[in-house]
Amino acid sequence: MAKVTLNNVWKRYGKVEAVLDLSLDCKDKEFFSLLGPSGCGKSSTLRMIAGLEEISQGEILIGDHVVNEVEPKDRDIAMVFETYALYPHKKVFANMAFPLRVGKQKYSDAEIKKRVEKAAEILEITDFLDRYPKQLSGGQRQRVAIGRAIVREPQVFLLDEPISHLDAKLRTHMRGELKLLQRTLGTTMIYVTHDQMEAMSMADRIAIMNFGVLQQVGTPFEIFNRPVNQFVAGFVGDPPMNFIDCDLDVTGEKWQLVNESFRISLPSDLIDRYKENNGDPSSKPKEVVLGVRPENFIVSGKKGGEDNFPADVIVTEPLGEEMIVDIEIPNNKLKLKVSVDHDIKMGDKIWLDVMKNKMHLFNRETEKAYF
Amino acid sequence: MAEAELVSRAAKRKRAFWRTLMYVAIAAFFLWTTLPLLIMVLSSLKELRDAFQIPDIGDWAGAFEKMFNFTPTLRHYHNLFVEEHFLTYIVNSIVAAGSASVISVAFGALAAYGLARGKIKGEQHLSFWILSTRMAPVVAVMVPLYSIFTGLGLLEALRGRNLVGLILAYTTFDLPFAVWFMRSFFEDIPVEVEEAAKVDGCSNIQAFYKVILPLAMPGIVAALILCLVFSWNDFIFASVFGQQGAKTLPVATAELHSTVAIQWGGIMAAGTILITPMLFLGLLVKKYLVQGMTMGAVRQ
Amino acid sequence: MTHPKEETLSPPLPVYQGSGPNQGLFNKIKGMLPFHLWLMLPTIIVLAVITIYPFIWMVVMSFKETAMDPGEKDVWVGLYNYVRLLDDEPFLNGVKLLVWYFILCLSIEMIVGTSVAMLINNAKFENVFIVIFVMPMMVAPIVVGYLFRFLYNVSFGWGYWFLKSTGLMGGETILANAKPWLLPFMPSTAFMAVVAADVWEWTPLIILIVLAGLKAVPQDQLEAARVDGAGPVRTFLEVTLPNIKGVLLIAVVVRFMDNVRLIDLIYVLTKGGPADTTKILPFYLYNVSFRYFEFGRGAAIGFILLLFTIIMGMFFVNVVFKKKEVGNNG
Repeated sequence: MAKVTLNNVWKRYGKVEAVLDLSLDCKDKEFFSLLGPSGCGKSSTLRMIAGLEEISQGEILIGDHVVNEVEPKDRDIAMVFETYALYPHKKVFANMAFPLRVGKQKYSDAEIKKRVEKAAEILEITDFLDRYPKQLSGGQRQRVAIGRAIVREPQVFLLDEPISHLDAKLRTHMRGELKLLQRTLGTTMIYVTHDQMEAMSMADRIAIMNFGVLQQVGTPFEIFNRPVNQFVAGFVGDPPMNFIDCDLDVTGEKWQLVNESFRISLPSDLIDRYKENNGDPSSKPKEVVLGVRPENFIVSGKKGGEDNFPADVIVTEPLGEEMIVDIEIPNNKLKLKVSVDHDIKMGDKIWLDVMKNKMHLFNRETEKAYF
Repeated sequence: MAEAELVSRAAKRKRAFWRTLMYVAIAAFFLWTTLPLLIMVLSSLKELRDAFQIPDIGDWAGAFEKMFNFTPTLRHYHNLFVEEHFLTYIVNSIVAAGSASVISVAFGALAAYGLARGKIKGEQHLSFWILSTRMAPVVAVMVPLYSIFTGLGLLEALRGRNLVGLILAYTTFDLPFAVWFMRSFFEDIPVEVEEAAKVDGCSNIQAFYKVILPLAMPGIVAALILCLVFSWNDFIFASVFGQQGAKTLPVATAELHSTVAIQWGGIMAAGTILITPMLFLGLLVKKYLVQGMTMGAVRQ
Repeated sequence: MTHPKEETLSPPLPVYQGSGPNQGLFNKIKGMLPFHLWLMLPTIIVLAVITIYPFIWMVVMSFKETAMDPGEKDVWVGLYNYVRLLDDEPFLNGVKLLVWYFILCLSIEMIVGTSVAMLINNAKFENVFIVIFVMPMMVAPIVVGYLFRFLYNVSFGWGYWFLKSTGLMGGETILANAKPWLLPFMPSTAFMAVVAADVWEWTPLIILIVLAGLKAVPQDQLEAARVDGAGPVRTFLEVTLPNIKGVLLIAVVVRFMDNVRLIDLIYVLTKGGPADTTKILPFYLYNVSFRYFEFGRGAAIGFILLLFTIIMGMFFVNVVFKKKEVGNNG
């Protein structure tokens, strides 16, 4: 059984708390991603799971065994490092064979050869087995690092931003490759990254962290569509979600979001969801934050419904099929993502509406989502 | 345009002038460095009469003749080996310097690794302490060290050949130097490579000798060579700690300078023997010299 | 997000056997110190023996006056040895000469060394030059001593011949010449001769250190200066020099520490003469301790020397560590 469980794990470096009270459940065979900005504690967490860092408080279990006191070599894990960490003085074959030669289990030379060659085949690096790491390109080295990890057929793979140093095209390619690899091998994989696109496209579930604190755990769908707070909402999605300050004005059954630019009514299902999670609101206008993703705006040349509001186009960034439009409304700059078919030019004045079922509402003070 | 031509020609001449000056400077320094050595080697091959020949003052033309025109002789070398038992001294030097270097580098590598990796709280202080061994006025340290050694009976340990005391004495300055020198080479090894080894199944010790050691080898070899050079060249320690049976080459060379006469021929020959192996070793080590000496503050 | 707990038990995993909490005496001892500290133990022991005991010995000795006759005990005199030094002519002379030695050797070695390093940096035969210029450093100091003694000899020395032939030298002897060199306040000609030997032997070290520092000067700064139109002198002063400042400092400190212990050259070349004009402090210390056997006084002198060196050494470690933090840009 290769699930990984963290129970109230803390990591302290002296006075600095890098990971605070983290509890996670990574299921067997799952592609689990730890996502977050630099310094959020994701790497520290991974390293604690690997055994390269001491656990300040709490427990980590691999399978059903508490591994706090277990050396990395005895945890039956394999790790791919951000910098690949290949052994410069060994050829590729020897690099990949190394874990099989030094571990507790003794493999015969024939067995080693078989495993290394199989891994090399999967990763398409068979031609390089006789070369030294310094003779390889970044992408090739990265595959060797992965190869070194898979030859042992461990219980868990740990990957620390493995593709962040590759060029953009190769990164895109590797995302698909890695996801397919994980499915094929069927091994539990914990993948650390700061790139939300990587996490979204590859992971079964994502755990987002910020400043050492777990923000949310969920499937990519959940993270994207039901973010629990402004941080998660703004972190996932490119361009990021737009946040607009406004007031929630409740008069009887009519709920409206009001600020100097617009007056938008909330549809009834959102009202229900709000009431479900937060009870009835007071009649006083509440300070809230409206969150709308760039792709969830409706653009037109003239004023349509009551909720429409005007905006000035500052810059247009055509991306081929789509276009990013930077607009300005009083006190706010927003980014829209629309199809290139819209005839929008810099300096134009356009009218906007918001897709009602795609609105997000956040408490201005706590930044938590209302629903 | 004629004007542009004039300007560029002047510029070219100016550049040529500076370039020539540069060559002259380098040539002068080259001569300054090599001539003394050349003279020593040549003198070791000349009969004393020839060795003492210098041209008259101002006679530049005659210089070449005086320096190079002679009948070479191996008499001085012969003398050293037959009369003065220099072979014994050479062996002593080799054994003492070699052993001390190997011991120092072996223990020093462990310490350098520990220093490089371990997040020891007083790291800067420890480095300073290691450095301080180079600071001690040697003479002031000599007496207490001598008393320790005689107290431990090390200098009388083996009859006739007590190199042990000498080897230990050399180790006292080789070991700190080795640690100081090798440290930056261990620091250069990325921590991730070590961590990868640990995850792959190595214990701490296995990671050390399977991964770290091979990668630090250039620095280790350089340290070994430098320890050899310093121990081999040492005079002060050898003259105090090397008893009758443990005389080394530098001490023996100095003894050629007795109260009666200075055996210049012998000295020149002995000097040549002394420096030749070291020159070769110097070639091997030059690449790593600066990085090691400056504790990694400067890397090549 | 919680999930219902798995019902099945995992099969016993062989990997975890034997790697539980530390068992046995070996592991208990092993666990007493972090792994890295164990590695350093032999070295620390050696260091302790050669630094702590001699240091204590030296300090204690410096408070005593060594007995003249063997068999008599040493007398405790407190700070007398130190106080005496203030009046001690040879001591003050030794200090003065040491300072001169340091300043002269260092400035010449630094100027010549830096210049040569700059000249051969990126030159065509750079490696060949390095090979040849490294040689003097590898020569045993005692050999350097005898070699230069040979060269300076009035009857058969090529050095003497050269100096006279080029008119660079006025006087008649070199190593026996106690007269001030060039200017009245300068040390003797003999002293300068020793300096020359030191310069010969150790300039290569400066060359190597500076050369390495030069190579670390960021290429883009040099190119920016070139585009901005700076000439070679300007570029040197404003780009190169600031970047190699740290390196130069290291060179200075390393040489200082070596100078303070220098005896070999003096011993062979002049034995402190003529007329005590080359009796630099370390050599005076050697005499006091090993010729006159006044260990007490010697210890006091040694202690003062050590103090001086420690200050310089702290400097060195500071610069080294600061450089490492900032990363080779000083």
